[in-house]
Amino acid sequence: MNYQCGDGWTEYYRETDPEKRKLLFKQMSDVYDDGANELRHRLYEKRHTDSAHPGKMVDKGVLEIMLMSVNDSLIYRLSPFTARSIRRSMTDLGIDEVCDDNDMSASAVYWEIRNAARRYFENCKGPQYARKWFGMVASSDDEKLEKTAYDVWTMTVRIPEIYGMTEEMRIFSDAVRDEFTEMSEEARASYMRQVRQAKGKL
Amino acid sequence: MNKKAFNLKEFLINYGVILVMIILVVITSIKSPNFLSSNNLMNLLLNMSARLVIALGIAGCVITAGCDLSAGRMIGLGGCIAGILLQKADYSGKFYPDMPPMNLFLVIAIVMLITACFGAITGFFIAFLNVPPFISTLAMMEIVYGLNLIYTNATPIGGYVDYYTALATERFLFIPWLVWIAIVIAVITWFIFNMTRHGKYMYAIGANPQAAEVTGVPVRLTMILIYAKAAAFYGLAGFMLGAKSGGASVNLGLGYEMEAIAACTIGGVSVTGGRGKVSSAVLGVAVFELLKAALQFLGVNANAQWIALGVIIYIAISLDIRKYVTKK
Repeated sequence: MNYQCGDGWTEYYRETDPEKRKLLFKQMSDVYDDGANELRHRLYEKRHTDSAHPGKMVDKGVLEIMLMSVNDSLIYRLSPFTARSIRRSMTDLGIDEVCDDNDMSASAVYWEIRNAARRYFENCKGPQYARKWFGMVASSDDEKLEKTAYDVWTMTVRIPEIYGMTEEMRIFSDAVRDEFTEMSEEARASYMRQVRQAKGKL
Repeated sequence: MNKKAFNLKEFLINYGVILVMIILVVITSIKSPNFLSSNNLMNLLLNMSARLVIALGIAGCVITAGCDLSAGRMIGLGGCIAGILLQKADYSGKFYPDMPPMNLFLVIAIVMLITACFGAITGFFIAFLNVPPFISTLAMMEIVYGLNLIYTNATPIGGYVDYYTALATERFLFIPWLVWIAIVIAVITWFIFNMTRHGKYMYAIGANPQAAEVTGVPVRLTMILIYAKAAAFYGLAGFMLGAKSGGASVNLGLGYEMEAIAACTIGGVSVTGGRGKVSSAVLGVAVFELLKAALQFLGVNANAQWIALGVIIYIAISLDIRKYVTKK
């Protein structure tokens, strides 16, 4: 599926700092209006506002992606609670805002999820990520990339297929996979390796 | 759900633990029919109860890619405090001769609160001073042991009131009270892990602590709560073990932390963090206890059982790492 970013919105979706994105939105919404600006604003607010702590800057997008990546523990038992929590995550990521798969709403949601994924992947390069042996040993850059690729495959292929939610999660899967594979050649190769090794893992 | 080609390797990685458990039960029950007697199963459940409470505490720490080596000594402290507060009024070796035995619920609250305070200190060092959990809990293990030695003067505690030891001997709906306590703790832990923000935060920290911070997760507070909650569970486990054995000493629970970590890993709590459920701890503890009982029934030398347990730990952790690491 072809998700249109919208004229001039590339910078808005490349920026991962929420405060800077807020400013960019103000600047761009005055210049470009493709009919999806209201939705973009709503998605931003949904992602960065916490009803329990008004005024606190949060990022539910990144949080849901993180939680999605660990949703496969004991996946073979197909817990109904996990299925419910996946659906709740999809709602928090704005999937329920999509009116029609081919209209601007699908694209806006896709790009917002890509932005959240981008911010998450930026944080998968730090020393605290994928530490081994009860957190005592740091992973190498290669290991971190492999782990991220495994998580991306889990989120975008394994979970949707096992839970029979491929259609429901399609925009999410497309966004997370595209963001990761377009990050670098190494990332793309690592993801393809996961796909190859995954045969029979589902 | 989609039908996929059967992959034996993946099947063994995912279902290996359950398979081992079934094979053990079948072989042992064929060789020794008493293995499946109600008495033995009840005994197995009793043994599992305190260990499950410990494993549920440790599971939270392991999910955040940490561990807790202080569990064993906290159990000792919890058992000794509970024992001291629940000694018979007329017991000759009473620790506080003039103090009457307390209410059970009050004792549980006191024990859990005291151990939770130590857990909170451990969590503080991990969260605020970035001391690795391995070191922080190792230090707390020594501190708690030392404090317990000073407090009890290394004297074994005994002479418990009947209503305390009855928790292990009396039953409600055919199941001993200690097992009910473990069930209640498992339900509470399941609720915390799956239905609360704290649970969500715990998994987020395990998945990626740096990203968790970015999303607005109160990482430090969550870490303190996780270690405090775990320590409260160890205190409760000490209380339970005291009731079961009818006595306590500073060495009560020695080495139980390793068994609990191993049980969690066997059940599916990943040492790389972020992955694990309450059912993982239940399954792991069940496999561990079944294995111990089966080895006894099969007449394996009691000392050799330690070797078997060690081998199981090796296999479990190797499989766990194999699950999440791919070859280039």
